[in-house]
Amino acid sequence: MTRLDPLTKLGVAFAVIAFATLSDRAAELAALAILLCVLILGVARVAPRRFALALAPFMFFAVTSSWIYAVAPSNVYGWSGWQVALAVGLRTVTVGLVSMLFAFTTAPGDLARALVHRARLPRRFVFGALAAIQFLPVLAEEARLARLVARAALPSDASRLALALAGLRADAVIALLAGAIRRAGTAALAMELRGLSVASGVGSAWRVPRAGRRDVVFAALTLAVLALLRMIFAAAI
Amino acid sequence: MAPPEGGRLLAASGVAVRFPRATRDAVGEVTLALRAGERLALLGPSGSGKTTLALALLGAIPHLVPGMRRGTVSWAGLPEGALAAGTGVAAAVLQDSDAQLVALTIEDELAFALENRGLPAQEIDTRIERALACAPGLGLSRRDRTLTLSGGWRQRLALAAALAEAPRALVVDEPVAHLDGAAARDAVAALDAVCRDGTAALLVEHRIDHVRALVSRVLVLDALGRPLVEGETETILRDLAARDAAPGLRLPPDLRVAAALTRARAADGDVDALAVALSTLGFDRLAGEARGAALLEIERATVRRGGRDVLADVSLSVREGEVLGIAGPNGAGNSTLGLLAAGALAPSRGRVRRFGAAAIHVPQNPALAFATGRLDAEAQRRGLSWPIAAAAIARAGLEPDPDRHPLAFSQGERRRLALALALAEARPRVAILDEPAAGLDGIGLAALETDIAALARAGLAVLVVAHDLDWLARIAGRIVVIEAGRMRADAAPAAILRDTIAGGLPLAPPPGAILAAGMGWRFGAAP
Repeated sequence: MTRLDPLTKLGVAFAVIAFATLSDRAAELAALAILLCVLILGVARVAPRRFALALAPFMFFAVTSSWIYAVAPSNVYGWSGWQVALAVGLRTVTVGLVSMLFAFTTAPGDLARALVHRARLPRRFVFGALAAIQFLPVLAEEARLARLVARAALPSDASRLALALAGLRADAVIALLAGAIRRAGTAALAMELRGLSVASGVGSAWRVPRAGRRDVVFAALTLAVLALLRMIFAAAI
Repeated sequence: MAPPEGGRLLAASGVAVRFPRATRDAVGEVTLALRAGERLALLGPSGSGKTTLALALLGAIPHLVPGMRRGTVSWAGLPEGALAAGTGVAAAVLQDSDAQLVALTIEDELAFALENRGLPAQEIDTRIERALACAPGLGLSRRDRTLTLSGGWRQRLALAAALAEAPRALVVDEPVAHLDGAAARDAVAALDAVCRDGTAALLVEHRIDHVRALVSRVLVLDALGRPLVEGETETILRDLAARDAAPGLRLPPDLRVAAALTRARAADGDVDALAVALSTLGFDRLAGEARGAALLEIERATVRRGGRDVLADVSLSVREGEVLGIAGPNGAGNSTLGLLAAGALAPSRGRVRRFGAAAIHVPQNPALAFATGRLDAEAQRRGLSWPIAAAAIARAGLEPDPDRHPLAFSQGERRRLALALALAEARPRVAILDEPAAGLDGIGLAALETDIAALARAGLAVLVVAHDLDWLARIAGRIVVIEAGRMRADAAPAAILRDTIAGGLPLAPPPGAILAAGMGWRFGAAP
């Protein structure tokens, strides 16, 4: 799937997300989620640990966004609260799995070039966003170090709670963001010094991904699978 | 001013820069020229405007960075005052290589500037292949992720990307800051390779000994950003050492020793050259073994992260009044050992005992030690009254302005501020300083040595992580060497220097110790 055109993949991903967002059938969403898991683990060959780590935030949101339906009385379509909660949770997970499959199988540089050359998005905007993605792990590491430094400032007999909460202050986050903004300013300067604004039009057409027959087949196959799921689970009701 | 003539690539005349709301120029009245293939170093103490001058010469000031530039800057083939970077005339590598890299893969990083310039796709591929086939890009792989690279490799990639631009001049800001000795040597070799094909280079650097062989000329700025002296590298450096005229510069050890010998011989014709050398390098007063009570003990400690041991089976103890140096290649686990000693990390195996001793930890990036936007708020956060905090800040030689943002200080000043506030706050018994000497000029380094000596005199156990082994040997009573998370050595500084020069430790032999050994020092007491 890494060879597929990023823009076609993006369009297909939006279609699947729209399908999942509009679906209220838990079984249909579960089937789609299982299919996506098979694609990620079996076809894209993502390591289970990496898969679990990427899925964790979506699972968290799935649980936190759905539990209210489970515990509150519901009169939606006459369903029980648990049925609604299951549909909402599965929808969240499915949308997450679509995003994960796209991210695992798409080179950010290829997507950026496709967006600039074919979707005609401004080069400064796209490559600025790409640089921002590069910052995220650096920012996360700085946040980790800042918390460790805050821990180091605690007395040696500090409680476990104090250790756990060290560095988790709003002003510490603001200081971290201030550092990130300064670093972003330096990155912007570095990009400009490498001719980002000098770029005539959209720059070189170097390795711009193009859609081909394979992408048409992929899009058609995906739409067929969605139609099949709709038919199977509509018939099951 | 007329465009550059007679093979000149760059001609700058009377260049001065003033930033908005500043009351004085950051750089004053600099005139210089750079010929094709020439290599020039900009030297000067911290805050002397070296980076500002480099940005002004590139045209980044005022085109990209707000500031008023006076005088003229002309690059061959470009209109006066034009932005030279990104045009193929000049390429720049900034000080912060983390911020310099903008792409997620090696090939995207190398292609970025070339795509911006609209080069044909085939030409871009050719240049990427060429950049990866020789230093500094040799060893990098097209599809590797930039985020997985170590600091040294990121620096090399930044240089390789600048080289791929095939510029006529390369402007590099502190190419070896934060690199260990071996990585710094590689970076300098890479720069040498870049310049050998006729590319001119303008380097900004504190660690003169690393770039000295690379540059034919130096321009030295004074503390106010005014040109102090300019000329042929060896002549100027020798003259500055002889006259002791640039206290802010970290001059190479051989020049300092030669100047000291000349002075000693002028005062007294019969001098012991080795004794003078050891005295100049600080090797005549290496600290002996500390005999106080142990304040910190680490016993067979292992720290795991990301499924691997970043520290494995490490044991050491530090006594009151002792300065323990920690050295090792980039990524060896030096900083992790500092965090473990401070109690910020818990060992997954083994144990860390601090005998009733509170610890302070000043991180490699001192900005991480601050969590508020004003000095008085920072004092309050630490439970200090403003008068006590102000007194501590003033003792550190900084202005105790309660409204000032802690990050408005320079990097070296932030480190002193963090240390001053931590000392006022905790009444610690153990102090851990992570790479405190990085990026410091000669004056900052001397002040830091004084601070560390004062901490030891006050009975604290002090752990110092550093790459500069000459300096570490001078301030520490014992040095621990870490390699790939494991302890390779724990010995007196003289023994560490001896084993390093003999190639028995994974550290680059430091120039001061090499010089002393060449003069007959046997790594023992001074004659």
